[in-house]
Amino acid sequence: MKFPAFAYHRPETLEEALHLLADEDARPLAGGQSLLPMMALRLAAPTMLIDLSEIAALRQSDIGMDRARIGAMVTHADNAASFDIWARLPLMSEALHHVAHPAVRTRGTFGGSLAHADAGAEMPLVLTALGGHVLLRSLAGDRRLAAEDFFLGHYTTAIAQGELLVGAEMPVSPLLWAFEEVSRRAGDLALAMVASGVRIEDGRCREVCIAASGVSDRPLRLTEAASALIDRPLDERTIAEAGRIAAASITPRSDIHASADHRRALVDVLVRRTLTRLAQGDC
Amino acid sequence: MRSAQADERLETIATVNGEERRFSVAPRVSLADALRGELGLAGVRSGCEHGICGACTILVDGKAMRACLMLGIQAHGRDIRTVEGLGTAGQLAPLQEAFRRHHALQCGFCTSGMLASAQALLDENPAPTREEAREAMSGNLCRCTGYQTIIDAVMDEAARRIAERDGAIPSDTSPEAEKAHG
Repeated sequence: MKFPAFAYHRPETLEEALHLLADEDARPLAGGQSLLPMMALRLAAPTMLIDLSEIAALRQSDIGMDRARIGAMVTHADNAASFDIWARLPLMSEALHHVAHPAVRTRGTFGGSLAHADAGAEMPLVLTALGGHVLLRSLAGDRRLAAEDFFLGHYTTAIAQGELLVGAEMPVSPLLWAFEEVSRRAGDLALAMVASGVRIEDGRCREVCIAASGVSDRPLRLTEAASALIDRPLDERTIAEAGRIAAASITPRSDIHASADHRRALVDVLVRRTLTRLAQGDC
Repeated sequence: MRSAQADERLETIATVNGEERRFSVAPRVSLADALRGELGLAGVRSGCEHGICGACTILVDGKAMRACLMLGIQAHGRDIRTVEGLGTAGQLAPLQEAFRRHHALQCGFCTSGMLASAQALLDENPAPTREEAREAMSGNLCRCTGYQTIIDAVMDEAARRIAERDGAIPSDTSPEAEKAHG
């Protein structure tokens, strides 16, 4: 369908954008790869769109040795092509290749994906797995929220009226990471996805993080499964155990795409796949 | 700042297939509809109109994008290339020729989007593996061909470009031109 009618403003500075967003009818338009389909399907009908595409400050990233800050308006394609992200945030680099299709990645943005907060999307999981923070700005000032305080449910975040997501920060992780997902067709939103990270010393796991998405209304850290691996070697037995614990620790919902049991089984498989890759050094 | 009320048209100037073009549309008009309705570029196909089918894929500043998931007024200052800018009525571009040779289309509705995705792939990665070509073309749906011949055509064109780059065939010799010269 055609988009419902809306007024349009394309500010050139962040300051201008924040003033426009103070209007309660205003909604930011990032790459439009989620918002515009929702408008075409009449799931959303904002009456005023603030196009962020000309704001240079939102396209800047700073990938340091310990910490990476990525601008909200950097496209998935640009992040996927970034050597610095590949080197310092390999989990993000790997996950980006699963985001939709090439012709969507050229326009879809990192910040747009976080703010849209689809439970089947990759970037919210990456931010959660790495323990990242989103950076929010309004005329009243700045807020820095941890991923778990930001994602509140399906398409629901802690962004307040008048606030704009300007970017996100993630620590450069000392863990090795692997990402796997299952979707019905290439580029579809995933039925389930898992990111696993380990730091192994003297043949034993010293730090472990396992996170899953697509199986709840927000990205989840599977702490029970991760704890079960601490101070133990990563072998066939412990990997199988972690998969079982991970699957038992979630309560997915059934929908037309997959039943709850199927999603639980997928998480078991994906946890084992990611951990097996990490055990084999395939990451 | 560029602004328009919901019922107001905004003048938009873009380079379209190498020429400066102007059109004025309301904010709600998609780029696909603006190109078709205002500029008569009916090679841009409107299929699902929400970014799933890929039929409206065009090149914006050299990158493949969905024309149904952009606003017409967002074309302002951009370089747009549609299938009309690929070859001419009398002479197909080599990529189009490869599609014809491999029977990579039946009804043809998806073809202009397929060509845009293939063009963007080969511009960025001149020597894709078959797997990379499949991944790059995965956002374009075809209900007729079953995709194998489409990937065959893309791989054939990649091989031709590499041969051309390596000097095996002169750059101005398309299969059509060869035929004309006998």
